[in-house]
Amino acid sequence: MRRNAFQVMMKLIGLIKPLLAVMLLAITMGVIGHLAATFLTIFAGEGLLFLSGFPGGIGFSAIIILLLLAGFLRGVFRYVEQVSNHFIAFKLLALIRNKIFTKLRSLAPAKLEGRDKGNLISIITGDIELLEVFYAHTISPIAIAILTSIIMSIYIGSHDVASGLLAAAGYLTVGFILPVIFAKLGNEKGQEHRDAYGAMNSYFLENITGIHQILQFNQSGARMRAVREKTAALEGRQKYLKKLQGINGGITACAVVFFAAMMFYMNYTRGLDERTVVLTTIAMMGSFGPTVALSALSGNLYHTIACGNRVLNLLEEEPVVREVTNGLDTNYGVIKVDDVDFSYADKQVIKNLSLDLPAAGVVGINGRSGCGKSTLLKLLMRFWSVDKGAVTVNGDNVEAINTARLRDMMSYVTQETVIFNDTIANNIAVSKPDASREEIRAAAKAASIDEFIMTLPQGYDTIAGELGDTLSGGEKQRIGIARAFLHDAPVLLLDEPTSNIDSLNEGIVLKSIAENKQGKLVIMVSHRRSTMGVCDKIVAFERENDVVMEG
Amino acid sequence: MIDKRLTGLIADSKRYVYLTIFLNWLSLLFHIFFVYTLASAVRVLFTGEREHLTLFLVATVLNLLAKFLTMRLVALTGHKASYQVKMELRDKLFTKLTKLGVSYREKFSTSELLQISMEGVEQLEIYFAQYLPQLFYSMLAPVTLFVALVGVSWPVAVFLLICAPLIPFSIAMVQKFAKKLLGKYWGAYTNLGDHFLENINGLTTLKIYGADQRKSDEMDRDAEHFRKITMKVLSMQLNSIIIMDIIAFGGAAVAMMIALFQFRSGHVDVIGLVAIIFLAAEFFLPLRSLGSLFHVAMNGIAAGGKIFHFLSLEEPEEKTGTIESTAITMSAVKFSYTSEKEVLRGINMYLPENSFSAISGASGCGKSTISGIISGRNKLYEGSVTFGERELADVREEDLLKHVTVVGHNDYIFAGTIRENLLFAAPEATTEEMIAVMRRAELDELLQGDAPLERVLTENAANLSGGQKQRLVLARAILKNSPVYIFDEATSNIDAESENKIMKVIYEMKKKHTVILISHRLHNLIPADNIYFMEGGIIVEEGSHDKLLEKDGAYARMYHEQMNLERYGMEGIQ
Repeated sequence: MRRNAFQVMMKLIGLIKPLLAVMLLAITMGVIGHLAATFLTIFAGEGLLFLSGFPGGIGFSAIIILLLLAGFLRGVFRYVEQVSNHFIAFKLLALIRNKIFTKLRSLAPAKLEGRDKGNLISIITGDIELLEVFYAHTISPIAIAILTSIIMSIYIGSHDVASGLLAAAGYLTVGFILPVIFAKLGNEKGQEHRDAYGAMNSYFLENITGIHQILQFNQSGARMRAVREKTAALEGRQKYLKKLQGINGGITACAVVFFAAMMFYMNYTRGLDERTVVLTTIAMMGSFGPTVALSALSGNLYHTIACGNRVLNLLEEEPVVREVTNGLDTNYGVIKVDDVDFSYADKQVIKNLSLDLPAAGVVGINGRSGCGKSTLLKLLMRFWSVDKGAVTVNGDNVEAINTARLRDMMSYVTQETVIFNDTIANNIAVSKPDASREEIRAAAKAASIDEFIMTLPQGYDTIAGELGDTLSGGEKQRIGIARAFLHDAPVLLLDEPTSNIDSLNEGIVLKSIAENKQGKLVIMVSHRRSTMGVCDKIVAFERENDVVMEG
Repeated sequence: MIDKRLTGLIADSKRYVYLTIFLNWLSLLFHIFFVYTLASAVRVLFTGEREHLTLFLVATVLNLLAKFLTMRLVALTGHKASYQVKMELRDKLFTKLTKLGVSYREKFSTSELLQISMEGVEQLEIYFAQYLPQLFYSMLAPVTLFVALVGVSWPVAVFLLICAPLIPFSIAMVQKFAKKLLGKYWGAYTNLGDHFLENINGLTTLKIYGADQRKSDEMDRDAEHFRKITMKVLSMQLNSIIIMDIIAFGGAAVAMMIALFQFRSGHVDVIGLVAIIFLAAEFFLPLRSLGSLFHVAMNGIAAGGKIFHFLSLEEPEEKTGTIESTAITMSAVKFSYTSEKEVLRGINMYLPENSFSAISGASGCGKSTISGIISGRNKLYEGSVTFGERELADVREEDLLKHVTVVGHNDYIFAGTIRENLLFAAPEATTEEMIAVMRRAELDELLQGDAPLERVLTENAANLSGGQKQRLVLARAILKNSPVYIFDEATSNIDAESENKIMKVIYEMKKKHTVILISHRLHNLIPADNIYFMEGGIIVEEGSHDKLLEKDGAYARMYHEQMNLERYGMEGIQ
């Protein structure tokens, strides 16, 4: 859904209702702080006028006191403003992440599979960062600028209406008109530059990551020349953007002097009294702080709006499948697949499928890639709902069983195991957080990974994340299997468990499955015949049809 | 605050830094002129006879022009400065890397190198383009203003001049103290982001085991905990803001107060007082901007230090020897990565030209170290390694790399087309040759479609499967057609089908190249002429596969163990 800039901003502000009170505090403090700085010079002006014979009703000592108060209290107001801003920034980040994670939880895995997951994730994290900047450094300055401009226009206007209007025009120009114009001018090139810059950075990064290959094939000269060319190509666009930035800064700085000079000249030639001429000029000159701050925001504005739009769209997506919470607490029993149809992205993946699965044993599902085998497992787990027919457990339709209960009954080993940046023990215990060390070791032994873990410097307490790259595919997969064993559920689903690992590791994995299958229903999906070696019964899948073979 | 070596590093950019400072200073002069004409106009105002304000208008226009041109030109010089810095630094870093050669890891870690050439260079860019000009300008500006005001009221001028340096001084003090505390927590901050990322990545796994709610609560708790701690530290660090503003605005207020008293007592006239009102704050503006750039300075200097360290690493001596014969002999070769762990404890090997040798043993037995020595990555070995008569230590690295190609399990494929990646190995290769080598590497599946070679690969071929990527790595290596090939666990991380295909291609190289095959899966080594089996840093058994099985020693034991495991899979195929 496309929204315009204003709609996006309003909705984004609505997202952070819990923090609005603190935000108001920050804005108020910011306004008072800026006014203190401005009135500092105005009080000095009053002093000048008083001593030159143009008093205004405040005594000289009062003027001095006000002058010093403004100067010394300004820091205090700024301090409170900054502390509030930081409070908001931290809370905000946590709040946005919470909202996005909660939404993704409800969308997963159905809506996340198939999307370019890596890209999606990097977009989300990039968007969150920009949004944080938006909330912490955009809303507040804009609100402060609006409020101070109104207050100062009124103050100046109280001396002379025309001057007040001129002041308002000045604030509007510097704080709104100029930033919007420059945001529009720089938007397209800004985006292009960001992309090209990112590409160039990646290219250079490759020169370092791939240095062995570069030296091996004697390509260092060519790669270096290419970096220089790419950087040079960037130069044109970057120069344009910097030029724009320079003009923006220049015109803004000019505008401040222009409006101040204009104020003086206008009131001087109109013959207004000395107090009005002096005070309106001083006030004008010293009050542009908040609006000038807005000119710096124009660079990223459009990009931020685009991010905001994306995030809002994500937060409004509806999940494909909703968890069942008021359903049946079925106990494990025989699983039946009854005349099931399933389509995904307009493709009929499964048609008229019926399967009678045993209560225990190893069932292999074999067939070429893309024929629907993995999809079947996901239907059993109710990651998706069938279009027609039913999946039942112990006679109850999975659509009616409490989802948490269903999860208790099943363990699922994905094609590639995700390792978290935590201890190995905790990585395995994802499936059972209160497991004892003995239980974890037993599961690891069954998965033939205990021996390997004991060779690590801190054994089970070694942080896996740091090994992330050095853990082989086979080792990661065995950890995934240990997780499943620890969960100790009656059903074990394995999705292409050995398809990405070498023969040796495949042997190890198949052995541990064969030796730990007692009392379980194990369903193994694989396109490899070798995996079927440990199966009691094999189901062969072909596109859209199924042929059941006993084996 | 400044590192002299840094400024020496980028000689050309200095020009732009000076220009920036000069332009800003010039603009200040016009502003001062403008303020004085304004002050003069106020004096005229107070006399009651309003004249034409010609001088004021002229000064205004000049000031406007000056401000505009300055901003415009400074943007340009800033751009040039940062552009130069980035280009030069990255050039220097990469050149140094190529000079250090394939053994650079013995002196510098890859991750650190990545950090300084990406983030470090960016930090230095800001250091030169923004910080340095601002630093010098904020020293120049107060002095200039002092000169402009001293004639008007020396107490005010002196007072402001004394206050000025207090700002950066106080900021520096508070920042240094806070940095220590904040440094501890910076790691925790990036951790929050990393945990968020990995929890999204592993969301399916978390949902399978009902752990997603738990992780969500954990993240909220960690975020709140982190916030509480850092707020304490930050509140302290933000004290620098109070101090800075008290000095700046309090100082300006005091200055104006002094000026008012002086005006009352007749020491300062209207022009002087107005000038002071408009210029007092200008004293502090540049310094306050400097304050916000302080962390930039710290980062820039830290980055610069690391970059210097890298650039001043000792380069290996230029060798001149070339390789004539590719018969490799290793005599009494020893090697240690660290002083405690001796990995190779005396290796003797003879690999004739065009022989097919294999090296194996359990993990950590030293096989990859041998490959590292022959290919030049590990230079700090004891003993002798010769190519024919030529001692390896005398061979020019470029020549060594021309003769020896290593294929590992994690070799890099560059972003670009398949064609570009293949041409990498042989710039003169024809399309037919490239297609032929891809067929040889069993990559027919990638040869479908109109322009298969133009297929675009992302960084490290992330858009190919692991097996496809490795076969492409193999194709590229074959295209180079070097006399010696080392396959170091080239199939250890990919699926069995790809493994078999790749092994087949390797076996075909028999008798046409010197092949050294390193693998922990003994079944792969069967066709080798000679197998070296290692344990504890020395070769314990040697011979052909059949001979070693007959011997019934460590090799035979490992072989049978592995075959027993693979039996589980093979039964499925029968």
